[in-house]
Amino acid sequence: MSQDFEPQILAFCCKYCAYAAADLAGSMRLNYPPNIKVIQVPCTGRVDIIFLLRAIEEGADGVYVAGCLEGECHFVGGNLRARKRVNYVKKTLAELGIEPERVEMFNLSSAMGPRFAEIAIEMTDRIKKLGPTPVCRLAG
Amino acid sequence: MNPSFEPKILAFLCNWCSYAGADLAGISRIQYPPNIRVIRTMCSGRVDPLFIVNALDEGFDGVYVGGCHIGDCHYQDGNLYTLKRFDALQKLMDLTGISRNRVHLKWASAAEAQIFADNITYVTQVIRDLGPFERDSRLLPLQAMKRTLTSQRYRWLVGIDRKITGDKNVYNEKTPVPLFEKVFSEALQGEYQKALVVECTKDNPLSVHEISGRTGLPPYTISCRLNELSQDGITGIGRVDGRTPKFISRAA
Amino acid sequence: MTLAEKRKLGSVLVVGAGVAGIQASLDMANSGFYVHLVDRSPSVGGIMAQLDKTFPTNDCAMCVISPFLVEVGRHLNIHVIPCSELERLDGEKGDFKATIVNHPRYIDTEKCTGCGQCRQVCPVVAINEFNCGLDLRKATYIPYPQAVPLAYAIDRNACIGCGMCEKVCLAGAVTYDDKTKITELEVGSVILAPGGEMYDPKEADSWSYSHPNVVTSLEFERILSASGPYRGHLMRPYDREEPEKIAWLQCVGSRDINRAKNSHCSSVCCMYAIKQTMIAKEHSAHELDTAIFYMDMRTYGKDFDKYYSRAKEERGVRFIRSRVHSIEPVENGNLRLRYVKESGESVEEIFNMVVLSVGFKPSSGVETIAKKLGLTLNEQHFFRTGDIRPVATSRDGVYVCGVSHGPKDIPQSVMEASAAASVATSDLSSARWSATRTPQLPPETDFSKMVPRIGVFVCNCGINIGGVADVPAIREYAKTLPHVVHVEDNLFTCSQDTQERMKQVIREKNINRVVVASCSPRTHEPLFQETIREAGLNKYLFEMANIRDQNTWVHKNNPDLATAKAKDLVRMAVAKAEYIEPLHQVKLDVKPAVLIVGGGVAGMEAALGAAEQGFQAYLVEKTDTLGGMAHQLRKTWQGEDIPAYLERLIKDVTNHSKIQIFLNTKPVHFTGTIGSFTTTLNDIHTGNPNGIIEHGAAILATGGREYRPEGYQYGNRPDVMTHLDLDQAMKDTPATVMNADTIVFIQCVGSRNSDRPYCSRVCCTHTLKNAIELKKIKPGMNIFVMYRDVRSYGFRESLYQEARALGVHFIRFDPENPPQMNIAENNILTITVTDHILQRPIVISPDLVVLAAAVLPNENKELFELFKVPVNAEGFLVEAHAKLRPVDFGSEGLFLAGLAHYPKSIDESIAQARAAVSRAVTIVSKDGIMVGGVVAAVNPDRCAVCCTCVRACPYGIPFIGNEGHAVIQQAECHGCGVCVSECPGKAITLQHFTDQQLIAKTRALFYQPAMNE
Repeated sequence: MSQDFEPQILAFCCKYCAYAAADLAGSMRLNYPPNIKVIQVPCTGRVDIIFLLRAIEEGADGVYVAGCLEGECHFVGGNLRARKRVNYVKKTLAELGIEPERVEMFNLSSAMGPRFAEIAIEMTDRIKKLGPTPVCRLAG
Repeated sequence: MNPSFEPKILAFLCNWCSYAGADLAGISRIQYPPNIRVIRTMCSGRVDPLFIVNALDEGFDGVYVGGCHIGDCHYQDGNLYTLKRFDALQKLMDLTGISRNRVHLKWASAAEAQIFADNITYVTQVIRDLGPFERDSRLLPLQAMKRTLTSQRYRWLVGIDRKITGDKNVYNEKTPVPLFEKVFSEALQGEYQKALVVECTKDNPLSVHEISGRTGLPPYTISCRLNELSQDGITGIGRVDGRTPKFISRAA
Repeated sequence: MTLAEKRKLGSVLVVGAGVAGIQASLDMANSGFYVHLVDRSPSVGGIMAQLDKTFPTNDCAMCVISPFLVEVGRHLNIHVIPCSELERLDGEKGDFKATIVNHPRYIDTEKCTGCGQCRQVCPVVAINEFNCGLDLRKATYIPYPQAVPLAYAIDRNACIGCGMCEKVCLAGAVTYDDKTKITELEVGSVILAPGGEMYDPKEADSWSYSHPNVVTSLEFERILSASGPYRGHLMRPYDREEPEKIAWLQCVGSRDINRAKNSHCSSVCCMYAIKQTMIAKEHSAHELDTAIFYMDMRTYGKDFDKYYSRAKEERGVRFIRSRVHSIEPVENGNLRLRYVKESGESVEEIFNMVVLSVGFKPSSGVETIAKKLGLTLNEQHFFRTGDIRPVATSRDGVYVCGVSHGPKDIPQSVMEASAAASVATSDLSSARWSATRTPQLPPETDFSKMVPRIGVFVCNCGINIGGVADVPAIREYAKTLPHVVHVEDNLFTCSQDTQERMKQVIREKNINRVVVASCSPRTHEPLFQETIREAGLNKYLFEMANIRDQNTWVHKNNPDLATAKAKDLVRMAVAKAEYIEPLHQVKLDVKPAVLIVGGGVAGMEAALGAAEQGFQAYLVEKTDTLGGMAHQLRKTWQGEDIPAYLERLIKDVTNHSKIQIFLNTKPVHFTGTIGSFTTTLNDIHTGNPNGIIEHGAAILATGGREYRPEGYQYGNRPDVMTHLDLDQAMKDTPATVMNADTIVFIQCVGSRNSDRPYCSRVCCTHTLKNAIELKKIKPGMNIFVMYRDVRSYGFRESLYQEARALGVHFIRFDPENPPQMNIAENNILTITVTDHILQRPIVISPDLVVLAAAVLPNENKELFELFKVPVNAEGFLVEAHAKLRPVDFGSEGLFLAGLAHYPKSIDESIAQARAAVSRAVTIVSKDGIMVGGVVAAVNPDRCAVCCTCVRACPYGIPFIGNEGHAVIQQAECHGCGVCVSECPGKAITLQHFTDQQLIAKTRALFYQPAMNE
């Protein structure tokens, strides 16, 4: 595997927990790899299966969804639905011969800045091990 | 003590007084022990405590710093800064277990050749009595001292001392000397202890008890320092062996 | 002057910005009053901000409170005055002059951007109070990262005046010449919420507290917190080993007149200790043994007992009923505890760590304020309050809430805060909206036909961004992006002068979308939205790229990659900006009336409260009388006369011109949304309509009743009665009671069992009160109380002490082995119970047996279904959030109060009713409710009526309308977007987070137009 491979990883983070935790990681000046690019959503329940598939299609090496802890969703249970969708996407990717580990669901509270950094490290390591996405990007 | 031991002493002499005094001693053929090796600086204020520690780390058994008498500095008050720094350095050495008598700061004017020679004779004897500096068994404190002496917190405090305790601070008042000294010794101790922890955890993760074994610091002190190191993003848990977290530092 | 001529002011003062002060401020500011919120500390938040999790839901405390902090900080009608104290209060109710001392902060909160450079360079350390002294902070500090206001302060006690912070502050916010100032405020009333402090175990040397591995519960809370000193990794302070065994010691500084001189129960420690054991176990990678040493387990609140059993049965927490008499440090940082078991056996056990469950004491501000304002304190030095006016102090126009007048948990504090808000403003209703501010805004320009013209502002944030990433490169890069017509970089984009400049540039260059690349939208989006709105742009035409908190702060070792990532983030933001659209909120009319269902004390207090606030109240009661269960009560726990109060209340309610009472009535039809509901009322007997009323909010106070015990011969014998029977007998035929020589009280009859796994909260107090009264009248009477735990929480503990002093016998029993009643052939009744201390059965022949029967909610299945409000397994109504929304329902515009929510004493019912009024008034006081914005919208043409949205919505908002497609009311939608992502026909969009916008953002990450040039 190329050592220089810097994956592009997209993270859909809910406003109330994961996005706040990412900000807290910043306030705490925790270091994590710059490969993670966050898109804020009101709730992970808003993360459509299409978003995940579309990200993979566009050439993301990894995508993950980070929401509130289970049972603590600001909107009751959006994160549970997000988990289901992530699992569905994993299955679909497996059928297409793409490693399902490229997609993941995480849960954390807004006070868990260190956990956000950990997840970023964990995902970057994981994707680096998997290598670049097998999806061929159309010449842009 | 091995009577045949002759210490190697590095001397930093200021151009205008001590160095001139040393020259005069030569012209006057005043005899003093041959243990010193001299580096000329324009002012004793140029002598960074880091130079002194480096000298010990490079194999010298002691260091001599010579400057003008207080009030006679060619650069008005350079030697006052030297005094502060030297004082701080000796306080730091007290924390390390390295004798503060390995380093000396002495004043001698350009005319005081005899005093210069007496100083050298005296200092040589003191260091001879201390015996050789066992550098190899002092690597950790030496590295930690260097780290402390390069920390912004230490350098800033040493530099601002005279202004805020002698003249006025930002509130247009003098910072009380006891308050400053308390803050300064906290900073010195804190930075040194942090430096010890960083030095021994920068390569491989260690538990608090292991750090304690290497540094001689009590476990709880290490635990407290780890808080600050973690706030600064330098030290964190590298791995956990059973129930024992092992800490690792990013050498900055 | 007569009362009517007196001036009434439309502004109010709140002292103390913990969770209670915050809630009171928000309620009042949202119902038309201008609020001055004063706090001694540099930021708002109080103790709750320090907590890791909250019981009984284990919600993250910071997640729950931070939206409230932000709202307080941004509210146009809340003036947060940190670092300040109330010095004196002149004048009288309705027209006070408050003198405030503003202590110097040495950092200008207007200019400080919270970037933290000053902290990084400050050479002086001090104890970090926020982490309870577990670590250090700098002399230049911010209490915690989420603090409001988000500004630093200089701790003058620690600062040596070296000037370093000023040198690095590029915003020029450091002001060393800051001086103490005096401000005078004119306010109509004052709410005091100075809060509590935790007992300091240093005050007594009994707990080996100087040992690093002996920590207080608040310290432990910080140890557990992910943002605490150990980042949530459970380690003991001495040597950072992960503990195997932790002991919690209850009642440290509470229920202790020897060591701590605090006789009260602190009300919250049992629950937080249980919570901490469970969270600690979750945080521990290995098996963790947790033991709680306690006297009585006081889990008396809603869902508390279930929490307790879960800890005991599922998590294996050890509960040891014993007071530990010594903690001795032994080798390796461990601690040896010596204690005596209930059986008398003496035990020694080694623990790795000990947590002291410290109790509440009043904050030091309480005594100072009391002196300055001439208020009465109680024996425990908390503010003194009564039961019938639970939030009123001894001075007219001055109210209290929260821990400053008694230990309590968060929901109780929040409830009282709302109660205080409503009582404090009821006399000021004529001045409503007189002191508030409304923003003066230019009309919005219509850009709908124009192509996007995007302006990008890249912030250096001093050196926070520019010191790591290459801001000029980002700026130049942004210029190459599509639709971008203007790019600039600023030292601080959030500074006042940049904001002015931004407005000017927007107008000059006809910019119709603005992208700011700086910090987090969580903290700064509202500010920038306000700015662009002032420039005539709709506030939604805005997008942020977080290149500081999520970039330069976390990648400072990788400047090149940080610059590349910043470019990516800017490109993504610009891509979304191309598709963002203005959103317009719609104003819905509000009916200035409140419907209250239930005519008991809670319902009547609510009706009176709403009417006093100047709104029409409709009070609906299904029986033919008002008063409910209170008719059967004699005295409050502090001895206030309930019948007299009840009579007065009924009179006031009946005579009030703004209250319309419907007896023998029930609601049969209910429609509408927040601010505008319509309810049809029918006569309960005839079924004929009594009226159709329109109202903006509704309060359900449907009450509860006493359980009619099965067993213990209840109903078969006159000498077996319940508490209410006893009260009735004491009123009607006292002699029958007083003839008894021996009385047995049996606690928890019908409560805390598998049918009703909850504590009825009031029965222990009721028993104690009756036992004391009987003992006082007839000291020779033998009184036995058979109990499981004596739950005399808060100051009610004084009743327990008094009862014991009077010689009442307390005998504890286990639920597995409850007291047995035997009737001998000669009809003589005996009670047999196993005494734990004597360890043998005791037989008592009482003349009277009093059963402390459970409190049940009234059954109102139909009614609750009509209002679509949820009930729990025990039949109690379920509030929107157990902690911070204790009187709101999940459905907007509906509120609850009284026994229907959970068993509670009359003072608590009154407070909750008043709290419900406060919440309802935040709606009915407005002339319209703005709805829309980030909400879901249905495209009827694409709707296949598959009902997926109906099932997916967590709030049950979507329905199939008469037109044959799904309908989502803007006023009700919470904006999560779950339905949007579930809808198979893509018929629903979540505005501002549309598929197109989010996919554009995703696509932009991988499609780089600039790279192709």
